[in-house]
Amino acid sequence: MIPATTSDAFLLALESHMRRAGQQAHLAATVVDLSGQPDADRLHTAAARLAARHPLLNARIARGADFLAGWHPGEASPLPVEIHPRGPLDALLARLLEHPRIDIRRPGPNLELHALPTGDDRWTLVLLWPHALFDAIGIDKLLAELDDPDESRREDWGETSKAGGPASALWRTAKPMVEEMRSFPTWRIRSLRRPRHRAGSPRFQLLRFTPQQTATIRERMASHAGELLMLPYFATVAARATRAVLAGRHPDADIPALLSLPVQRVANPRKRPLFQNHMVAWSLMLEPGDFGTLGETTHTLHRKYAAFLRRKLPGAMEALMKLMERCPSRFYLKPAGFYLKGEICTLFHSHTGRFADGTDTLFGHEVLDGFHVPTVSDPPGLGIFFSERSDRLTCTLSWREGTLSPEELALLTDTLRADLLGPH
Amino acid sequence: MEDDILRILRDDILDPDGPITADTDLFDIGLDSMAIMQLQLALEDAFSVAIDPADLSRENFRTASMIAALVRSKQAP
Repeated sequence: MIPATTSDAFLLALESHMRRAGQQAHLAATVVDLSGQPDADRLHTAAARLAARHPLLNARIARGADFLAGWHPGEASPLPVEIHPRGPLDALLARLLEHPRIDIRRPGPNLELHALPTGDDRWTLVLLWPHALFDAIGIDKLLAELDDPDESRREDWGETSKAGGPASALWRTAKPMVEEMRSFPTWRIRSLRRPRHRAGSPRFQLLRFTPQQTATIRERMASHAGELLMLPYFATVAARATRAVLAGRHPDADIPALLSLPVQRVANPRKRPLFQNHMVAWSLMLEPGDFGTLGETTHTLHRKYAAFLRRKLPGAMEALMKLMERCPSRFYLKPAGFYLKGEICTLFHSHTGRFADGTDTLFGHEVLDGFHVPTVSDPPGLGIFFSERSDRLTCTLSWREGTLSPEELALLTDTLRADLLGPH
Repeated sequence: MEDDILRILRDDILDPDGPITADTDLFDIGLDSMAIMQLQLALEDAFSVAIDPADLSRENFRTASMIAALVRSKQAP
């Protein structure tokens, strides 16, 4: 048995919530555009070698008698590989995410490889994976060794959180974060969740920007916020777009944005395991009065990042996650739901930086572009995710059927485009 | 000052694979947006200076030498 990380335990709780709410497994797709055409034999060979190398690719997760979750490796069965007929990527992704076969609670493969020819000299590789087992940096590392001929078994996992010690000490460390969370209900937190509506299947839309548009986006960021404040800038862009939709629903309300921002625990990706989750969620609140111009709000959020660090809240959050790791998954999110009246946060957001940095070829083909498509839970019902590859920015909008009307989706994308590219 | 900045970068911010010098390009070894924000606070604490968001530029943060020059300019009376 391989102990789950404290971050895995959080993701397991989120998946448990999604399953109980009929939202299926918490999966993500990673999309890699490649030159040439797919070679089925090479894909099958790579899949067999991956399964032989990594026992966690055929593991299930379960809690033990001590309530701690752990991964239980099973037989190294082949990973599914499918070559699809030429067609649109969006339709394939929708089908894969809507009818998932991966189930982390049962023995069986935790990774699928799908190949889709998209042009005469272009194809797309789609990896389908469960979020409880990987995060985006882990998938980048997996891509880097996808066609590695090595078949020897590796143990590329392990906890990276330093939180530990007796519960009393953990509680003292965690207490500032608990007090911070108790301050959140000062404002009525809203997400795109519709309280009397059962969220449906995962939905997504990709905003793929050209290199010229991406250069414009960078220039605007530099002029509005500064060239190095990427994280608060894109979080602000995501928050403003979500707030525009919420303001349409609640025109008379003051709308704050409670952001849940994943931060990698290990600065150097080469010094962390491939498998398991290694993120700490930073919860940052933008109050209604914090929303001004794009630049003003970015600088306010930057100050809030700094305050979060100065008050040692990342360490407090680590301690809280350690304290919570034995909590049964169905109860894990209850305290947040109680304080926030059924919500978790306003939206999920991340900017994972350069996609698969350093991986220039796969199976002998040039990597042309790439991005991730994570599914999200409801609440909050919406995720806005960014990444870059080859000087092209991709924004993945991920929501659940029923959380956004077509008009709201148009407002969301229009607001994002206007902030990123400037008014038309 | 450069040595102190290199120690902060090495031990608290970047955890690089190999040695870094005062002239190493920090963006090439992983100085990203999160690391910049952490570094800003570490510099303010270590050298008792205030670094304005407007100072967070590639020109000021490309190497430890450039960061040292920025910090000195903030310490100047």
